Amino acid sequence: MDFSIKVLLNKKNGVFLKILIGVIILSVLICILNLFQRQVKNTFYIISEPVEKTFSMAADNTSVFFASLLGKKGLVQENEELKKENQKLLSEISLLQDDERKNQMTADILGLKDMKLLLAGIIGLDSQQDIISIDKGSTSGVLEGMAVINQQEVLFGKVIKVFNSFSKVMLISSKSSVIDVRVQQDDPEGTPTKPVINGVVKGSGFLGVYLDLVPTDQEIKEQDILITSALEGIFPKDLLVGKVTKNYKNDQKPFQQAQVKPFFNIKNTDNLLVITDYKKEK
Amino acid sequence: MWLKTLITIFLFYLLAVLQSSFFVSFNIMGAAPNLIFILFFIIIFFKKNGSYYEIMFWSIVAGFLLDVFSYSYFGVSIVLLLITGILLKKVMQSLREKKDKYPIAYFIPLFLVFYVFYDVFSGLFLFFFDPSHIIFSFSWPLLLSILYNLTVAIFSFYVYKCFVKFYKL
Repeated sequence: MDFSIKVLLNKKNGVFLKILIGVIILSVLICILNLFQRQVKNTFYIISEPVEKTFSMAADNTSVFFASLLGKKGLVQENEELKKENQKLLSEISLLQDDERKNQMTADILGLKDMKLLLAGIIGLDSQQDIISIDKGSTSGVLEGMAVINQQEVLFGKVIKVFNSFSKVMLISSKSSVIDVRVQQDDPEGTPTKPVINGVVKGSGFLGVYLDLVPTDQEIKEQDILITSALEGIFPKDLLVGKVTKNYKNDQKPFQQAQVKPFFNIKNTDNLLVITDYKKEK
Repeated sequence: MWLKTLITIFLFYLLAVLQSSFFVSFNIMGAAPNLIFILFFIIIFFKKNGSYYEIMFWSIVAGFLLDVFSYSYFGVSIVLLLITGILLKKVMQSLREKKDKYPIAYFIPLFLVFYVFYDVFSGLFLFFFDPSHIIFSFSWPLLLSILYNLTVAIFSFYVYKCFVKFYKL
């Protein structure tokens, strides 16, 4: 009887010891990895960059191949061109409307030209967190908090972590993203006293965003364009964010929400622009 | 044995790179498959007499690759995968009584439960480091993501089963 209890105790101690050893090994490993996080991640990105770029190119070609199989190649191309043209036009419209309202056209154009941009290639997407990796890091002058756009001035997000040769960019669709925006409405009459509608665009994950914190007494319509308002001081003003697709207004609530279709499209984008410096409005 | 382990580690790496580059163009409404989680799940699911050290080893390999390509700190995915692996082994020990040791009828519900578990708790970890992060919110893209992952997992399940049968592993 005593012998069997001893064996059981030894067995229990053995299991406990094994668990303890496992936990200690794991904890030490995690601590070491986090201590050298920057070096480990940077090394991994350097090793993986050529492979990732090859896979990205292969994915582009494959998607075009599938599209052509379905007889949509021409349509896809045309659609892409139209989308780019549309974004460019929307950018121009938003600029012109704002200039007209404030009558500071020259100052605004100068403001845009004052942006310092850095071209960066996309090398990966973390679809769980809506974070992309770009191939420019601290050696190229990238800093945390810098805004990332495309050629059509569509806002993609901001830099949240910088490594030597790479950076992580949190897309505006990330669940942690909140940006101040202004609702740009079509105003054929050009009412100069029309109130400015401010709100915030929050990320909902899976490359989606929604508009929030718009007072219920303000009227927002479908197809209204959302642009950055620069209130938080991170993004330059008038960058394109998205288009309102559905409005959820409830008089019981102090604020209204709206479904938004973001302008950024990660699928067909290879290169982005990091705004390294811009003229801030006083 | 060593060769098999090395090939599996390389496969994990290849899937990690594929996941962050190739599948970007094949996302459906922002949803993309978590190939590393799927491979890890299949390895543990099909292990006959896998020890806890083995689960720990694969959790470190898969979790390291998930963390290295993500924004989060090292350890989040390692710990979550370790918990997933241990729980899955416990469940499999209590279930494995049928003629077909690895039926799809077990695989589908178990994958669904553990995938949602992993998704919710990784959100919780992110919330711990960044309180503005939304832990879990039900949405159609989330449902689509679960279905997309399940489809890829079922496909991988049969591929792995054929592979095991062919090479008599």
